[in-house]
Amino acid sequence: MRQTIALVFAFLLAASAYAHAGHHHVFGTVKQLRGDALLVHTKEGTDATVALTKATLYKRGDAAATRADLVEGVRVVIDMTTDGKTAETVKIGTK
Amino acid sequence: MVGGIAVVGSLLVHGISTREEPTHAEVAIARMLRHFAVPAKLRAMKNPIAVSPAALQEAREHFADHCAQCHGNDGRGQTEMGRSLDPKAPDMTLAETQDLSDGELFAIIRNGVRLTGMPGWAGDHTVADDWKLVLFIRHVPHMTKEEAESMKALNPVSPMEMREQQEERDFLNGGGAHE
Repeated sequence: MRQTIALVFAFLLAASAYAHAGHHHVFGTVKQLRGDALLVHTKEGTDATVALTKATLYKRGDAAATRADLVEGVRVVIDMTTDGKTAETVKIGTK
Repeated sequence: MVGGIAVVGSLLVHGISTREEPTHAEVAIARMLRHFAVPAKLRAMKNPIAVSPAALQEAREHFADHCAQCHGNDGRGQTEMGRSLDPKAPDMTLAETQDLSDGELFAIIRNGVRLTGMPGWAGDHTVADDWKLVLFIRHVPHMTKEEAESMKALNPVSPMEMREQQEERDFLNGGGAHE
């Protein structure tokens, strides 16, 4: 029985890791914030526009941040919502 | 007989996939079976543990560690795993869950639900653990987004996720390649 439970957990963890790998993140530098549209120059060298919503959370380290912290040149890592359409969390770093 | 043939025919044509929404009949039958699977005496039980910040915190930590992978920290079931189950993990803020009695929620946590992804935890949890989880489920509709976000620190982290988190920290602190 214990072996069965261990196998089920191993499967769930593997499935979780795989699922997380498909979760979309955007690494980049803020170029412009216009309304709810955040233009980011990604680390891959392309530009991407990410939609912000009222539900989007902003963090700097473990502390809360605000949309006003999204100034040009600041590095961000954006966790997209599971449908990939809007930003769930914007983590703000150094300039 | 005709119904049985129709069901078998449908399975042969469409196969068995958890990606499709269950039919109303499947949902109704599953809920009825779940209802009857809980002994009447247990169904009528009230939570013997009073709400307190300490009990809720304990339950929050437990939920984040054991349950959130499918149910999500906010209990809405919007996780990769929760959405892929059949039936899908429920949105526990809604009446379908909140209208269940304390005893029914307790029984579901303890015994699981057959033919779903919900395991029974009686072998691993204490009785008190599960009553505290019932407290947490009652709290879920009142949770703030910030509270759910803070629970992320309590979620299990795989080695791959640890690497991703380190990569994020390095990038935010100015490291890593950036064109």
